[in-house]
Amino acid sequence: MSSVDLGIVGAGPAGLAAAVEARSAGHSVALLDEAAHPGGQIYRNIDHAGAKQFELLGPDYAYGKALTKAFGKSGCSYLPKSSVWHVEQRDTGFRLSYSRDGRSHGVDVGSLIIATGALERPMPLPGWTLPGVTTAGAIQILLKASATVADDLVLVGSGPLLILLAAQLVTSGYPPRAIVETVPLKNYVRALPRVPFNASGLGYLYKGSKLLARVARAGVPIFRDARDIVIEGTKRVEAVSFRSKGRAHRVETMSVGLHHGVVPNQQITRLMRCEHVWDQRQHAFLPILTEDGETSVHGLFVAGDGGGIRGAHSAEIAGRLAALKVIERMTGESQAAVKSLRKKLKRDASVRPFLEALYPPFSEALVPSDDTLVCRCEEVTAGQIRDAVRDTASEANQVKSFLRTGMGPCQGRVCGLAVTELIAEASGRSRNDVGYFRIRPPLKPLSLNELADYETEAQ
Amino acid sequence: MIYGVHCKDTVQTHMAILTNRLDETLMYQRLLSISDPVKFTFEGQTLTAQAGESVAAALLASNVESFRDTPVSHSLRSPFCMMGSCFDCLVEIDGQPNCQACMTEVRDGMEIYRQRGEA
Amino acid sequence: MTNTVISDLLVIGGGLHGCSAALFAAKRGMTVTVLEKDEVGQHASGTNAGGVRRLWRDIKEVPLANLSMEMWKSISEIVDDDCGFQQVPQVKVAECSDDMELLADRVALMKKSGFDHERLIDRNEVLSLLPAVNPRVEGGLVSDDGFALPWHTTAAFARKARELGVRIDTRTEARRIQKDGNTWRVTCSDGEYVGAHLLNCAGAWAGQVADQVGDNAPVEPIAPLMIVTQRMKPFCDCVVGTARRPLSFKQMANGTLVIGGARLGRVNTATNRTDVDFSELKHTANTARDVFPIMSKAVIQRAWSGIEARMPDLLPVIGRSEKHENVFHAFGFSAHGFQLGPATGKLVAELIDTGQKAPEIEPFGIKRFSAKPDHSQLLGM
Repeated sequence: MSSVDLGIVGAGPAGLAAAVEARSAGHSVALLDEAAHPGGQIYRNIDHAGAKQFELLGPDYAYGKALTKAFGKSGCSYLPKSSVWHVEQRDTGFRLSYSRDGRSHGVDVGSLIIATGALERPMPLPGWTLPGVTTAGAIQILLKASATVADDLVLVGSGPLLILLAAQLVTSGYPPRAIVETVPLKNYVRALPRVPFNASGLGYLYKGSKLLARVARAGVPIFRDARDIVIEGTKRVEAVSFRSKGRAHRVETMSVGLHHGVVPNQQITRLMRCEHVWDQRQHAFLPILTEDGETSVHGLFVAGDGGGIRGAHSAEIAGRLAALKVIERMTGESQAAVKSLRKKLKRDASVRPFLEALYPPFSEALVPSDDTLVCRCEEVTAGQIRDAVRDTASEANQVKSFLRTGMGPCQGRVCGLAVTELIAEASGRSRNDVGYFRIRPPLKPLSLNELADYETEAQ
Repeated sequence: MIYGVHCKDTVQTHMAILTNRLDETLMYQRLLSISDPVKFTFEGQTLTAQAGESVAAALLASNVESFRDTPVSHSLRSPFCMMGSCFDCLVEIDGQPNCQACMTEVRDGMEIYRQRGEA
Repeated sequence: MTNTVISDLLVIGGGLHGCSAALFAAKRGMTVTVLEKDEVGQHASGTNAGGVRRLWRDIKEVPLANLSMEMWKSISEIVDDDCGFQQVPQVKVAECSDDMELLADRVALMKKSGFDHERLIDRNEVLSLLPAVNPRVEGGLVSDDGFALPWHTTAAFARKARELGVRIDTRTEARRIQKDGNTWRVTCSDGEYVGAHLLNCAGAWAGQVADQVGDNAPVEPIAPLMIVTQRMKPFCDCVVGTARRPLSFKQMANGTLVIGGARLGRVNTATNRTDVDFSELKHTANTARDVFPIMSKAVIQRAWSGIEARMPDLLPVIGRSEKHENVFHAFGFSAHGFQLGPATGKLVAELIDTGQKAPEIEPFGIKRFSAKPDHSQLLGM
């Protein structure tokens, strides 16, 4: 069993920045990541992307090249294609069990930074399980990793990622057929007072408006204030029907990209029983963190979107901060850069209140109609969940025991927050009281052979 | 009936954009031609992909519509998240069921089948 | 404002045994309140492997298990829910000839005591019952048993009990238990409860409850580990164990495999926390793969453990307190109490209501753990 000072899970901006920081102070670091190459989702495939991808994805994507370059030179022990399936607390820190190329291994780490980023917010709409329906993130991953685009695509939902993706597709020569935007018109008014009048905030808004202009120039129809959204089809998606500003529409299409924000990936922090609390502004559970990212479990840090959605730039700063905190612990010397990083982090987050006010989750997907599937793995509908609540199950884990929601292979990654939301709606209880699924190991399904052959020693 | 009403002008506008394209409309299009080919089979049919990409991307770029049917209701599914979270892209690769197509790199000679129901 | 709830019977612990006893006591016309510190069935009752097993039980438990089996067969009539109960054979396979001798000795012992539900079978019969079993098995022992869905079963008992008027207060921890004249007063975080009778069904926490009424109960909290796999095509319709290696193996109706068997995780009863120990579960995986080679294709979906109470002699405590006429116990089932739920509840309710102790629960008195003599009395204090 190998052992290092610091373990990091996730090779996005937070994980990479943390690794570089800790290595520059001379500490041993192991970074484990599921992907084959560093970059996370935001800078996915950055070291292997061609000129075409850089042209389409723009300078914000290309920025990641500097991060992976510094990481490559850092001397960090890098474990790609490694899926962490268990984390245990030990006297001396944590033990990670991970699967790589069909075999399981363990590594002991003194401190641990979780940098596993965000997941798409579940968007259960009628028909969302049909082949041809993906998350908007999935479309972008295809673009980054394979320079492949959806030819005939309707984007449904809201948020910065949706606009960015639409603009990138316009540049690729394959503009989306339409954008079905779920932002209620009143939100534009509501968000106005939250416009961040500082350089960082206005910078973000300026970028956003340029993207919107690019989409508009291409003539992509945007249906605003959409509601009553139904994805139609039998064996695959055939059309999206909805109402917009009082009129009924039906747009035929072969692909639908869904998006209404991203939420923290809480699988590891839940497994470790870190304390979490409902955040109404982000409309998600967040792990309770110190200013520098330490969870309620001593020595366990979260950096990046996993601690609350703040974007790639903040993730990088948070990764450095968490690493500095770990260095402080190990050396007993306070780190001069901590203060300025904390300030930078605050400044970078100034655009969030505006975005959160403008792009809240789509209400129809928070409380879907009774016959809409919510748990995709076990195929449980919203109506079944409401019935279970009526049958006295008023906690996420009771509904899980009762209906198997979250017991399928995705372990609630896709349906978890939607189930919490539905129980809260049906029972009238707070989301904190309803809670979230207990996350059991293995974090990812593990072949029985692999466990049987896993060489480990008991504690 | 609310649904099923065509908003004709919208559809027409959009059709105009589509007809400007020279190629046939497919689900997915590669922006770059394959420079480093990998040959594999899906349901016995030989397909080609770019080396280094995932099985899921390779199948989607080949316009494979459904990857599996579900063990609960046998309804069809294809990749939803492309980042290892949703498990809707499960396929059988070289005899091993329950493989996440989006997390597996495509390799020369792979034999891939749809996963039908439970493994 | 705090109210005082007054009942004929106060049950501490809303697991299967607490809910079952409450249900049968209510049927006898008693007013019953169940105090559950967490949620109904949150621990051992809802998280065990669900075996409804008589096979290989301690001979002292067999009469109680036989009575319970009869009740399981008509479980729908008791709780208006089938509890996912399926009557299937339980098979203990012999992996070598020594194992076969062990099983033969067992059958002889059972015969001598007049029990005939366990039957020795040869290799061919094992293969016909379990077509997917490793063909190298030597034979096996079989009984007509079954399995059910633990959480659903416990929820069904609670639901039926409530229908019969039982009050079940969850998130209600019994903090202090005091004698108050002839009754018992239990102080909880949000109120006081008074009962003419007290029943301790507190599972892994039952030792603390027993302590408060002056009984000695050496309860050891344990965390039996369990694995569930992703769905597989049906290949096994029996519950399977082995003669010597710990294993409890079954395929549920939905195709998932639930695999347990005496391997333990780490447990902390103060925080309700259990930790899965994969260095232990690895042995379970190995045994499962040896017995069913097809398991080399299985994918583990989830591992977990409940919190159980284990007694030094691996037998439960069922019966009246050593110190008080109106205090009763039903706990310490040592990781095999699920099958006993229906019968234990019925007989404990009878004991409380009529004072009649059924012969089936005779061997399980708390007196067998009788501690040192009571010094306060010796000293005349």
